Amino acid sequence: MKVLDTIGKKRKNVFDYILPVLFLLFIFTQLCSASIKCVWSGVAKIVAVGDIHGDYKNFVIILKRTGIIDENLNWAGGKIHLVQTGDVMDRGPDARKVFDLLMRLEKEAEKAGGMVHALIGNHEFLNIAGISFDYPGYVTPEQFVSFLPDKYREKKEQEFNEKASEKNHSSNENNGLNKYWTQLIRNDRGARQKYKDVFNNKYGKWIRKHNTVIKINDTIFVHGGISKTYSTWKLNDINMRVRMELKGLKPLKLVYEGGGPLWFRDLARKDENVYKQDVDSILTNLKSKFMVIAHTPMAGRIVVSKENMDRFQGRIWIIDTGISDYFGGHLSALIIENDNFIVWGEGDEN
Amino acid sequence: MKIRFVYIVIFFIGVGFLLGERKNPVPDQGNLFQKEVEDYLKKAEIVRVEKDKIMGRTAPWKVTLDNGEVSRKGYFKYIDRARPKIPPDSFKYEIAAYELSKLLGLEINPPIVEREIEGIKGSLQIGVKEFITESYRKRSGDIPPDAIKFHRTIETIRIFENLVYDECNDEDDIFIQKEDWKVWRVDFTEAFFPSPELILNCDLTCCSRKLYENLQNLSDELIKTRLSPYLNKKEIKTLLERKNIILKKIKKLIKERGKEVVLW
Repeated sequence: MKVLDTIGKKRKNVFDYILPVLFLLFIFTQLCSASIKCVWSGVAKIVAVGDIHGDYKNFVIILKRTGIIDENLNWAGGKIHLVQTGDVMDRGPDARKVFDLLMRLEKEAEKAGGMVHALIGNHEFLNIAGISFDYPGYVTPEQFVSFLPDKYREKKEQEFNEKASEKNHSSNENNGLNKYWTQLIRNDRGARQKYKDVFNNKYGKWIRKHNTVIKINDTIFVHGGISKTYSTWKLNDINMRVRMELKGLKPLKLVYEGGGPLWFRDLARKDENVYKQDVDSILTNLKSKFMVIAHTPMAGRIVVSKENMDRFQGRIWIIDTGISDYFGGHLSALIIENDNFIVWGEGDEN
Repeated sequence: MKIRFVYIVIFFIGVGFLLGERKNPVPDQGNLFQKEVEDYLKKAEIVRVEKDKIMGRTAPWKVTLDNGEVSRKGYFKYIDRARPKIPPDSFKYEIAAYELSKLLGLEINPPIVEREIEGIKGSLQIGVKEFITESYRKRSGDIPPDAIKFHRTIETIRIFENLVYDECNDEDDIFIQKEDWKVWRVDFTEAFFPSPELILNCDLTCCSRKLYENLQNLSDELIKTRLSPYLNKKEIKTLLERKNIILKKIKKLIKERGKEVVLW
């Protein structure tokens, strides 16, 4: 009997372990996908900036000239809401510096009663998933190096120098070193993994705590756009789903779909006469008057102007003007004050 | 004796001929148009590569080709994330879909070949000249000059989408040439999802006699041989299963509605 009792007890103990583990797992998944505020009203002034693509220099110029930061790069925007609609990364050199600035400004703005909304773009997804490397030229040598651990970078540079001196080449040739990093980006899985580790441990973690789509007053802000399909979703559900996918808790769907909020281009490209009804129903479903999108540079136009940025009679605004030098350096910001849309940088061909 | 021998020889020649026919009854070689364009895509000189002209998840390169006589645009896709990598997206699926369409005697995919540009392997597809998308056509209310022919092509595309398990009814992937209303279905880089069933809400209603016949006659072995460079075993296995499901579905439709209604 004693033996049986013991077995019974043991079984009970095992069962007792499983339940708490399942419970903790449930709590963990709930915490991971916890909702983050994504709707604000009564905001007097909003400044929205589109794709930066690693161009820290141009981003700082925009922030200074729109009064968001002072000469020392500190928050000077008071209660302004700054919206950066994603695509901080790729093609340019300084994504890490842009992230560091946004992280700091986020805290400073909050103290001043303002806010920084750093939204998730498709290039953030590509880097978190580690597939940005599939696209030649997306991860630049400068960006790659900036996210490598210092010791690893030094080791690799030493390897390059040794090889260069063996071949009697000057190791100081930046060009040669750049080519070396480009080769590593293409072929070296170990180096790629180091990049991914550093990126995901700090910046990926931070990005995953952010929103994909937000609503301020009557305006929706999102990187690619909201399609008819997703206009029937609650904003919070879109945000939670994207966060769960980026954390690997759900299969990749929203973050990679052509019609998903990170990639959708129809609002920037489709014929305004033919697709007017679609846009009307999207905004009606979202209970909003306007949508600000980025992701698709103003259909190849190079002059920053209201005419080139607004579509569907001012209901859709494209703020990807090609800000980074890679795309021509057409600096811009959209300022929304009491429902008035003002383009900063207008007329500049930069 | 001699006559008997002649009969036997004729008998075996006949059997051999029939078996040979069965083994490969489908218009395997593709038509002249496809062949010519494939040759052009393989051999024409690449005179210009534009890398940031087309954005998107596969970010294809816009390529200008020239063979000394004709200059045409092409699109080069190089992303190769074949399953089990995620998210699956590969130029190989694009080529597999085209090869399969050729085996079925279809002309719904613009010709595509495997080619290397700047040391990168990928698929090079001929650009469709002056077109509108099906999405645009529907919204702008354009009516095809031959509505029946147009509808039938859309139904053929739907069967093919089920077969390769790609997104069904994506109206932006259906291109209509303005000049002659020729319909093309593009972009299969995410196709061949390894599911042994048809796509939900992508019903089949009718089928051309030629396609039905080709589907029946197309041997599993030929599919395996042609597509194994591009698809894994599971993708091929489920493709074959879907082929059989489509055939069963068409047979069932014929039984329920009659041959004249279902086949054209």
